[in-house]
Amino acid sequence: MKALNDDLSENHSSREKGNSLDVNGYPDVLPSLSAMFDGEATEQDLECLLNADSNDISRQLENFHLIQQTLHKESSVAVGLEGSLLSRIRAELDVDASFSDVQDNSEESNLLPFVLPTESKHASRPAWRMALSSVAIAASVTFVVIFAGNEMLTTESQAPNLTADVRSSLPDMVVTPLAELDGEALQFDNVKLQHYLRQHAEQATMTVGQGMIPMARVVSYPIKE
Amino acid sequence: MAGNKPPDALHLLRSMTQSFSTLSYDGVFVHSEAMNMNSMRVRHGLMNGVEYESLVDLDGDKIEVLRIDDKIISVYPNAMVANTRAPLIPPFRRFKDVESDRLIKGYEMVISDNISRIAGRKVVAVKLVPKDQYRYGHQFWLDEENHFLLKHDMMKKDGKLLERIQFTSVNFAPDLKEKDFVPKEGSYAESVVDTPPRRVKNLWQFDWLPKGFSLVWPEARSLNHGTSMLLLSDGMTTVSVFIEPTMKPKSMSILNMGATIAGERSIKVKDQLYLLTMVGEVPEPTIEKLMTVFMPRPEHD
Repeated sequence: MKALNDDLSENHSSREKGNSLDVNGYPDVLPSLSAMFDGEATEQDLECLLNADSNDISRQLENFHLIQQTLHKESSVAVGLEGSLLSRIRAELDVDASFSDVQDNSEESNLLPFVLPTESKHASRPAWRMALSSVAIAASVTFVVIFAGNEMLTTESQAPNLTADVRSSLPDMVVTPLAELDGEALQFDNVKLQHYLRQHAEQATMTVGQGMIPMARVVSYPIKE
Repeated sequence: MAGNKPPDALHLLRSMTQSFSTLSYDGVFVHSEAMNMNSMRVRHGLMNGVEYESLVDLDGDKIEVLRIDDKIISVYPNAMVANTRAPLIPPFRRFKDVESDRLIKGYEMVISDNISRIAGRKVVAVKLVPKDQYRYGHQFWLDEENHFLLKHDMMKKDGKLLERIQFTSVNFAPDLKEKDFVPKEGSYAESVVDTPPRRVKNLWQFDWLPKGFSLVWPEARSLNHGTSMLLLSDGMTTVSVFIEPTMKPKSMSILNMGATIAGERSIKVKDQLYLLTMVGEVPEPTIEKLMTVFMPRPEHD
């Protein structure tokens, strides 16, 4: 995956040249896609992907997958990913917008209004900022999309080496979900989770008698690079 | 190893707790867990009756967390994103004592006879051995002179290391000034408005808790987006509980982040679904079990 990311990074670094046409004469969404996988997608990149022809995205994803196949010498082919990608981007934008609305309307807010980036700079560790900002909407979209992208471009046998490992409850777990609950796929809300992790770390500093040292954990929470 | 000496161990832990708020220090420590390792600088000082503390990541982006009395400020290298907030209650100063009753229920406390050195200073080690499978073990290496925490290991019951914090250098006579705790020019920090904590009635209860664990607050804390927060502690570790209304049913999932475990599931009370999230430095079975015994209080309570 590292090599693939390097490859994508090369594409990303070339996006300063602006949007162009690819060799087949199609609008080039590659810079925006690669920026997304690098965790550096700007609003313009997301806008570009949302407005792009799904066939273009599909083609680029297939290209990425071919690169991955070459690197990992595996033969399975990813198909039908473009719809999933766009729907997840849109879903995240919807979720974040509603989350933001709730915050803005709250009369009991303990949080000050966050400040969105005024300029985009190279983000070497996007999840870092996520961990400490917790409500940075633009960054959270990037964070989630990176995760989704890695999932899509990796087969089960080549699962990314993530720090955080999500799993559902095992059949023999001493857990009895309420009968009303359905078997929906499990997915943590990353923005909310980062907020909770920070809350938890702050309270731990007040409870376990080690000064601010528990806050050190905050910067080590889920890192997707 | 010497035999059990709970009073002595408790005295050392009590002294360790107090040292964090009474000593001035400027040190660098390494925090490692799972595959992650970060070096950080921590500074603390009391100046003109005001307590200052700073935690700076020395790797990657230079993000800093500042605390000036009861206000916490996150500082970023540039105006990327910022989030500053007042904590729910003034931190650190609430430490009058270690919660010895809870600790004794959950841990055997052992003081090591061996004197070793950490960051060039002689240390004494205190080990907390869990009495059951619902919590992790801890070992603290404290400065022999002032009982400042110089190294902390968190371990599974079988001894497997989960998390380590270890100072590589520390100065207990730092020349700190107020300006050392002002965000540097070019960095970005948001001013802080102190918001009083909002305490609300706790509508939830646990049908079971591991020995020594209890609620830290008698009431719940209302967070900013309709979420209620409860806090459990056994005197050494904490489990944060977040509960909020939701529209989406979710079966249980567990997120493993080194020593930190997060669990999430929805529960249904009458016609309302709630999303329950728990976060804590406890073994997975503890989070899993706690999530199954969390329920609304009877209405007549």
